Amino acid sequence: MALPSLAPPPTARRPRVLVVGTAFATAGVLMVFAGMIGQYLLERSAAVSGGNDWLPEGADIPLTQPNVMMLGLLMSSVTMAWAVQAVRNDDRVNTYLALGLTLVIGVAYLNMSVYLYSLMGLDIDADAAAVLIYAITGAHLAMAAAAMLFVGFMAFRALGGQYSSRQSDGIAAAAVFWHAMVVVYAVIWFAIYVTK
Amino acid sequence: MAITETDTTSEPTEAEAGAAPLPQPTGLAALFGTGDHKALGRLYIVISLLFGVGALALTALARLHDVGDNDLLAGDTAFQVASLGQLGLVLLFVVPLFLGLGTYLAPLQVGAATIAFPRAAALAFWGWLAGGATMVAAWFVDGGPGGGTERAVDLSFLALIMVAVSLLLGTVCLLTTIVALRTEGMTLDRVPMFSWGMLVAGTAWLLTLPVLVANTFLVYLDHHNGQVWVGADGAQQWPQLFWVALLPQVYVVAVPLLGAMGDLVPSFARVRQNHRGVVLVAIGAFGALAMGAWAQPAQGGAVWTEALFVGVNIAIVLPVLACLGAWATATLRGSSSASTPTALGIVGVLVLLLAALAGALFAVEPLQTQEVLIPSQGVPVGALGQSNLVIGAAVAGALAALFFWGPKITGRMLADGLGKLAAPVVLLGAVAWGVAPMVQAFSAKYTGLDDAADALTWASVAGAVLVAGGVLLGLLALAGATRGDHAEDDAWGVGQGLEWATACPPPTGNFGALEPVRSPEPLMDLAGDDDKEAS
Repeated sequence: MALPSLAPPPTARRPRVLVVGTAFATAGVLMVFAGMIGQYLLERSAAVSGGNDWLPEGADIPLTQPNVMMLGLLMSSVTMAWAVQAVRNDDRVNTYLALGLTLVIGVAYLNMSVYLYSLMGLDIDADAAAVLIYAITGAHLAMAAAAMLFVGFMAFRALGGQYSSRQSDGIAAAAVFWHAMVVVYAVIWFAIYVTK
Repeated sequence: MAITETDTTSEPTEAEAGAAPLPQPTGLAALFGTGDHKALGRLYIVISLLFGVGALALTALARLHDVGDNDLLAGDTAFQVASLGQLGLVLLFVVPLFLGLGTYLAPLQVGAATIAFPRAAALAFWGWLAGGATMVAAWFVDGGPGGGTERAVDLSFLALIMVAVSLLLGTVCLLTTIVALRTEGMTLDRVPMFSWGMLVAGTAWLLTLPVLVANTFLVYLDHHNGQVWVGADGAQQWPQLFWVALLPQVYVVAVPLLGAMGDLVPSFARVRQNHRGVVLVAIGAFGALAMGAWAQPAQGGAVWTEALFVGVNIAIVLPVLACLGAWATATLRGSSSASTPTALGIVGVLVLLLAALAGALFAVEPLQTQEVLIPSQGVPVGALGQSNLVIGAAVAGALAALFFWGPKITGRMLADGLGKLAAPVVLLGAVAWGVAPMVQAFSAKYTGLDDAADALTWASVAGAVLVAGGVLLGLLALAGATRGDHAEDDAWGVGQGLEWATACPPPTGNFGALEPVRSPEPLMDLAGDDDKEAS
C-alpha cells in the first residue's frame, strides 16, 4: 500500500536582519542628501531670482562626464540586480561576474568624478555654490566608496560560499544600498550638473 | 563540491568538541568589548543622565545671564553656553536616554535574544560618548557656533556630526531589532507600546537627525574653507542647528513618553488596553507631526508663519488627547492602584499637553509671541519655553520608565520614595522652566509684562534647577539599587509583556524557549486572563 504523500514542512521564518538594517541605514543616508540638496536648491533659487549668476566666474561644469557617469551607474544598477538574481538561482559564475562588473563600474565612477573636479575650475572657497557643490558631490563619492566596500565585502562572502538561493541577504542588502547610491546620483546629476 | 564553496555540514573535530568554552572577559575588557544590549543600555542611561544634569545647569546659567543687564557672561560665552546647553539637552541627554532605555528593553519586549548588530550598537554607544566628550571639550576651548578659535569651532562641528551619526547608528540597531527580531506570533500591532513608541521615535530620528548632520557638515565645510557662505558669525551658524531643539522638531524626543505610558497605564490598571489601535495610531501620528526638519528658520525666516507650521502645531494636540482618552477608559475599566511610575508618567503627559498648547499659542501669529527674542541667543523666548516644556515632559517620561523597568534593569526595586519626590519636583520644575518664558513671550502684545521679565527669567532658572534635581533623584535611585532583595521576574506583579517573563536582570540570551505570542499581553494569556471587554 502506498504511503500517503506528506507536504514538506513549512520553512522556518528567518529574520532578514541585514536587509532591514541596511534599509534603515539607507533611509538615513538618503535624508542626509535630501538635507544638502534642499539647501542647494534654496540657495540657487535665491541667487537666480535675485538676478545673480549661480556659479562663480570662471567656473565651467561640463556635461559630458556627468552624463557618462550617469549611464555607467545606471548600468551598475543592472549588474547589481543581475547579481541578486544570479545568487538566488545558485548561479555562482554569474554572481561573481555581476559583482565584479559592478565594482569595476564603481571604480570608473570614482575616477571620472576626480577627473571632472579637475575640469571644473571651481575653488571650494569661491562662494556658496562651490561649498555646496563640493559638499554634495564629495559626500556622494563617500557614499559610492562605502557602497563599493559593502559590495566587495559581500562578494568575498559569496566567494566563501555563504550565499545561495536559501540565503542571499548579504547580496540583497548591498544591492539596496547600491541602488540608493545610484538614485542619489540621478538627483545630483539633474539638480547640479544639468540645471547648473 | 567547488573550491569556492564552504562545507557547513562537517562534524566538529575531536579537538573542537573537547575544547573548553572561551573564558568570558572581565573588568575593562568586558566593559569596552561588550555587545550585550543590557550593558549598553545601562551605560547609555547613566551617562546620559549625567550629561543631562550638565546640560540643565548650562541652560540655567544661560537664562541667568538674561537677568538684569545681561552682564553675567561675556557676549560670546553666553552664546556658547546657551548653544551647548540646548544641543546637549537633545543630543546628549533626552535622545540617548530613551535610546538607552530602548536598547535595554526593546529586545526583551519583542522576545529577542539580543539586539540586532550588537557590535554596531556598541560602536554607536562609544562613538556617541567620544563625540559627546569631544563636543563639550571643543565648546569649552572657544568652539561651537560663533566661537573665537577656528580649530575648536571646526572640532565642535565634527564632534556634533559624530554624536548625531552615532545616535543614528544606535537607532538603526534598535529599529532593526523591533522590526526583524520579533518572536513568533508578535506581529507589529502586538508589539508592546514602549517598543512601538521607540519604533515611531526612532523612525522620526532617522528621518530628521540626518538633516542636522547635513547642515552641520555644510557649516563645517564653509567654516573650514574660507567662510564664504554661512560665515563665522554665530548668529548665522546657529539657525542651521537650533531647529533640532525647537518646535515642532523637539517633539520627537517626547514620543517614547507616550509609548511608556501606553505600557504603564493598562499594567497598573490590570486590564488589556481597549482601543489599542487608537493608541498605536495616535503615537504614530504624534511622531509624524513631530518631524520638523522642514521648519528651519535658516531656510526662510517666515517659516513660523506658514500655514503648515501653524497647522502642525495645533494638530499635534489631538494625538495626545486621543492617548489620554484611551488611557482614561482603561483606567476606569480596571482596578487601578497608585504607583510611582504612573505618577511620573502622568506628570510627563500633563506637561506634554501643556507644551502642545504652548506650541499652538506660539504658532498663532496675532499673539505676537514670535517677536520677543532672547538677546543673547536670538531665539524667540516663547519657542525656548515651549521646548523646555517638551524636554521636561520627556524627562518625566524617562523617569517613569526608569522606575517602572528599574527592577528589570538593576535587579532590584528602585527606592520608591525618591520617585515620589521626583514627580512633584519635575512637575514644578518643568512648568516653571517652560511656562515662565512662554508668559514672557506675550510681552510684545501686553507690554506691561516687560516689568516682570526678570522675575519670569528667575522662575525659569529655578525651574531648570528643579528639573536637574529630578534627574539627580533618578541617578540616586539607580545608585541605591545595589542593596536589598533581588526583584522577582514580574517585579510589580502587574506585568503584561514578555520582559516580565524573564529574570531581573535577564540572563545572557534573555529567554529560554518562548511560546508563540497570541496577543499584545502574553503574560495575561499565560495567567488565563481573557479580559473579554478588550477589543
